[in-house]
Formats: sequence, C-alpha cells, structure tokens
Amino acid sequence: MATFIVAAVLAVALFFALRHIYRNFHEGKSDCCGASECSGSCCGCHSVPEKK
Amino acid sequence: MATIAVALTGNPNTGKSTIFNELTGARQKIGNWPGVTVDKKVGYARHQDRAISIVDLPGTYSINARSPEEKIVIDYLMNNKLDLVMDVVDSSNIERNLFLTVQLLEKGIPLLIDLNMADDAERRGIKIDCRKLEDALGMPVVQTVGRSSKSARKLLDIFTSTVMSNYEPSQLVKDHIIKVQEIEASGKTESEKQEEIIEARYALIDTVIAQAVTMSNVGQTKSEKIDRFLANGVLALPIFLAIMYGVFMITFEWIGQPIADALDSLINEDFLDFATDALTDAGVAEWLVSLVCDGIIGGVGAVLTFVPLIFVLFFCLSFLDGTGYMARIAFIMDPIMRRCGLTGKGIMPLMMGFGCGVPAIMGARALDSEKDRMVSILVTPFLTCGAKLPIMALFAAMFFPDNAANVVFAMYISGVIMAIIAAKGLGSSIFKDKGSTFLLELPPYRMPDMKSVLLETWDKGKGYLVKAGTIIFAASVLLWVLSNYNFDGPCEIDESILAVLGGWMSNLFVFHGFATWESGAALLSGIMAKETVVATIGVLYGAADVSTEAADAVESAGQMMQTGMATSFTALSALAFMVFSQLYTPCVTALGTIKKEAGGWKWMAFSAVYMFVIAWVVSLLVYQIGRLLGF
Amino acid sequence: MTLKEGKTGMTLKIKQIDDSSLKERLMTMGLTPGTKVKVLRAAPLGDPIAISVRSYNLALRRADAENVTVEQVG
Repeated sequence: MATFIVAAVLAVALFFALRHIYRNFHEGKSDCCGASECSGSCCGCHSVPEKK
Repeated sequence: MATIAVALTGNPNTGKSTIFNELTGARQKIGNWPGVTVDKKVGYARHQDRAISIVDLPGTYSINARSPEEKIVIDYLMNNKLDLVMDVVDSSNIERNLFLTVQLLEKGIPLLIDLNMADDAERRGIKIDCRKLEDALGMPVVQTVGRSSKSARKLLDIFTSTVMSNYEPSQLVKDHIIKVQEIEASGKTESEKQEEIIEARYALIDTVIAQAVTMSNVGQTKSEKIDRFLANGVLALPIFLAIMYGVFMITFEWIGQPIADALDSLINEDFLDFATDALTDAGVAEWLVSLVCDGIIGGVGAVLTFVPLIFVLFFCLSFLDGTGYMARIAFIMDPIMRRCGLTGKGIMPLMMGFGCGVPAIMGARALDSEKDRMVSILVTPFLTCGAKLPIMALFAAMFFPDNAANVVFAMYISGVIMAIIAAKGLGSSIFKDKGSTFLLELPPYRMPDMKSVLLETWDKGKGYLVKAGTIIFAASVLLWVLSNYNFDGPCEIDESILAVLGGWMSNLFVFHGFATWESGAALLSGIMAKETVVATIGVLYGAADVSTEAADAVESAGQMMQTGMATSFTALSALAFMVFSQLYTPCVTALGTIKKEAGGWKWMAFSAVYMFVIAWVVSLLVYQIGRLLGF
Repeated sequence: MTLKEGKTGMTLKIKQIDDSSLKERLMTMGLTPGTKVKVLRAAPLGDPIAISVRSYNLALRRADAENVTVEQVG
C-alpha cells in the first residue's frame, strides 16, 4: 500500500516535471533566468534587441 | 474611474528601472513587445483610490528609430492614448539627457520631466532651478532621489492629479519645432539635415541650461577618482582580476561554501537517513526506497547542495552590475578583445555567461557587427556557467581541499582564456571581415539599489531551483533506472545499461586518466544539463556501499560520494575531468539557443563538435603534461 | 588635430565631425561642433580613451576618434 502511494506521488511529480520540461522546450524558454520573468536591471535575462 | 495610463521613458543609466520598481513593487508583468524580443514591463499601482498602470519603456538615447528599442518607444508613445508620459532625466547628466526630451517634445508629446538623482547632481555642484526649467520648456518638472518611498509618493500624487492639462510647450520650444520643420523642408541631403537638426537640438539645450542650471565646477567627481584606479592604464587589469578573485573567495570560501557544507550534511546525512528509515518503516518496497533515496535524493540532493554557492555568486555579479563597474570592464578589456577582432562590449554578454550561457548567447544580439555576434555566441559556452559551478566546486573540494577556491578560480580563468583563444581563432579564420566599433557611456559609480540586486539574484537563482525540481529530478529517475536495470531486468550496477553507455563513452578518455564508465556516464548525461554531471555522480557513487575505511577522504564534499569517487580519480585526473567538463559540448538548452541565434543547425552542430574536440585535446594535454611533471 | 591624438588631461574643442557610419551616433551623444571635451584617461595600452563631454563620460576607440577634428583649448 505504502509502495503504491509513494509510487503514485512520484509518478505525478514526474509528470509535472516532464510537462514543465516539454513546455519550456516547446516555447523555447529556459529556466536559467527564472521561469519566465525577471525584474530590475537584470542583465541578459531580458533579451536584447536585434541589430539590423 | 478609468485606470490612469502612464509611460516611463528616458536614457539608459538614469535610475528609471529603480523608480519603476519603487512605484510598482512586485506588481509587475513582463512580456514581449510584439515582433521583437525586447522586454515589455508593465506595473500597477493604486493611489488615492485610482488604479494606475505604468509601462517602463526601454532606455534609449534618442528616438531616431534606428534600433528596435527606439522604434518601440516612439511607436508606443505615438499610438497609445496615455494620460501621462514621464521622462526620467539623470540630473547630473542633464545636457545629454535633455536630447531625448527635446526629441519627444518635437513629436508633440507632453512630458512630465523627472529630474532624478537630484542629490547626486547637487553634490557635483549642479544646481537646477525647477521653476526656470519649467518656464524654459513649458513642461512640469519634478525632482526625485531614486530609491525613496517619498519620491514614489510624490510621483503618484502627480500621476493622480490633473497637472498635465495646464501645460503647453514654451515659446522657445515652439520656435525650435518650427526651425526643425524648416530644416526638414529644405533641399539638403538626409545626413546634412540630420546633422543640422541635432545641432539645433543641442543649441536649444544650451539655451535651456543657461537659463535653469548653474554649474559650479567642483573639479573631480567621486567616480573619476575611483576610475583613476579601476579604469586607468595597465594597472586596471590586475585590479579587475583581484575584484573577480574577491568574488570567488566570497562564494567558495567565506560565505557560500560554509552554507553549502551545512546544507550538504543536512540533505545527504540527516534527511537521507530520515527518508530511508521512514520509507522502510512504512513498508515501501525495497526498489522504491532505492529509487527515492539513491536516485532522487542522491541526484537532486547533490545539485541542491550547491544552491547557496549559486545564490552568493549571482548576488555578487548582480551587485557589481549595479555599481556601474561592468562598463569599466568593457572599457579596460577592449584592448584585449580588439586584438581578438572583437569589441570590449562583448565582455558584457561574456560576464553573463558566468550565470548561464543561454541569456549570454542571446545578449550577443546587442553587439554591433555580425562577426562580433557570431564569435561571441560560439565562445560563450566555454565559460563556467552556474550549472558547471557544482562540478568545479565538488571536485575541487574533494581533491584539492586545501586550495578549493583557488582551483575553482583557475578553472574560471581557464574558461575565459579558452574563450579568448577561440575568439581569436574564429575571428581570423571563419569570420574575416571588417573590425568593430566601441562607443559606450561610462555611467557614474553608484551604490546599487539593494532591492533590485536581491530581486535579480532571486530571479536568476530561482531558475536553478526550478531546474533541480524538473530536469534534474527527471534525469535522476532516468539515471537510477538506467543504472539498476539492463534489458534482462534488475541487475548489478556495473552490468546496467548506464554502465554500458558510460563504458562506451569512456573509451574516449583512455589517455585522460578518467576512463571509468562512471565518469563516461556523468559526462554523457551532462549534455542534458550540466548539473546532471553532479547528479549522476551522486546517484552512482551514492549507490555504492559506503565503507568506513575511506571516511578520512575529505570532510567538505558529500559523505556519500567519498568512497567510490576518491578511488576513481587522482588529483591530476580530477583536474583533467574538470577541464573537460568546463570546455566540452554545451547543454541542450544552450545548443538550442545557439541554433536560434546563430541561425541554423550547421552552427549548432559546429559548436557541439568543435567544443568537444577542444575539450578533449586540452584535457589530454593537462593530464599528460601533468604526468610528465610527476604529479 | 583630431581627437585621436588627444592626450590625457587635454581639453579640446570640436570643430568638425567627418562623415562615417558613427557620425550620427557621435553627434547624438553630444559631440557637436563647438562642444568642449576633456580627455580623461586611456584603457590599458592606450586605447580606447575615455572623454568627458557635456558632463558625462564616454568611451570610444582612437580609430573612431580620428573622425573628430578638434583644436586644443587647454
């Protein structure tokens, strides 16, 4: 029983982790600078304009 | 009542973002401007029962619509119905700051002029008479001192008032606008017109300054005195190195490491024991106990141990960034970068590479020439990013316990040197074209706004935590499966699938001193994310039986890892392993970014292969030369 | 002379800016004819240089400074 519960919890956690990875991959995002946002004068996290 | 729409505009380095943070606090949303990847920051505030939305426009020197940022500013201001546009002006640098102000006034945009850092200016002997400036421009003027809640309240009071409706441009400004229109209508060439208009703007600014500003020349500013040491002549370079060394001592010796050690024993001893006992007592099957304890706690725990180091390092870098020293680094490094065919400005994305290669690669977009961009993209991954830091810290602590910080510092320097050599190589072979330019404001030194520094540290460090909970977690589970099973079912670890894969990989390192399947597997998994190298080591050596006789190995690194690891490496082969992990193929996320930024699979594949080859060669040299020297 | 030959401590007055890809940016940053600039210091090996113009500091390379004709006023 305990085995089942722990395994289920792990499976759910793994599902969310994989979903997060998949979504990041899909949207071309990276976790390096925080999941999505970055405030202050955070250099590099906010992308810089393309010089054309 | 309707929401009041406010937009903030101004030059870079005026403290605009600090004001924005002060006004809105944490109520911010960051999105993208349509079509371009420039951050769009919108914040919200409430004042006197009115809702206020504030847009922080990108900082620009002008609105000639040459760069996407300038285009965003002018498009946004022209096409949106705004209740108020606030132009943030650095009081101590009012002349050049007013250039943008004048340009905005030419477009017929009414402005609230915010003379920020008024205290700074006063100390430098620049006295601005607000009333006279209001008269000269015809626009309301307010003084603020950057990070102070009093300033924020003052601004919110103005936002909610109807002050803007009472102002219209002064006669001086109206005359200027007519003059600009005349120049536009004349039959001269475009560049002649531009030149004349720019001169007319500065002529207007000179008139305004003469009326409203008194400058008692106070000689050298504090920044200049500091710059005589930090950005002057050859001495600036050793000082730069010393400052960076200080950052490493703080991270790996004084503050970061002690916390990391405490966390290590907490996770890898106390929590692990607790979890093992709890699960066993609850009657959980043995394989699942092993998965949770050896696999997940071993893997994720090994990575989490280094969180304090990451946060301390990011804090130091964010702090340095906030002081204005980064611009000096660009200045003093330009001679070296130029000789590699690059620009000193390229050092800024490179410095970001110490945090994470991904934003650093994206940051290369700010560079002026195509060559600068490409070279910067291709050499950035050589640097020791936050995810490689645990590898360095772990190996240094285990095999060089007396010199850990110095060894890690040496690894960081070797990454920088490799990046410079590679830049030189790429610059003189694949990307041969004209040189680059370098034009950079050296903003005054300032004490960074702690709130912004902490926010930034948290934002960057948070990513590391998220990765530990997602990709490292998933990778640990995968690694545990691969290391406990083969195609026939459960098996001993050295017959597992991982052992086979790692063994195959380790064939490449026969002459490097670390041809074990464990290190092969660790390096292979590192392509997913560099932290996984440490996670793999945690899973593999954590799973091995800990025998008590090796307990004397090291104290600082994870207890679990001591036995197996200490016998698999010598100090020299550990160093070779560190060098290899430092330089080899970047993680998949970085590779994806390279593909996007450099434009194609070709560059991605090139980067993956050439970095692997360089890492292989350099690491081989380290090991073989080290052996010849008798280590 | 041109700004390229500027030595540390010299105060120079800009006479003219020659056409180059950088001209408009230089002028936008405040380097207009008649403006006084002061050469503050040089990076290691003497290039780039930092100048004070319109009460702020700007760094530029000597190669780009060559396009700025100046006369020494102090």
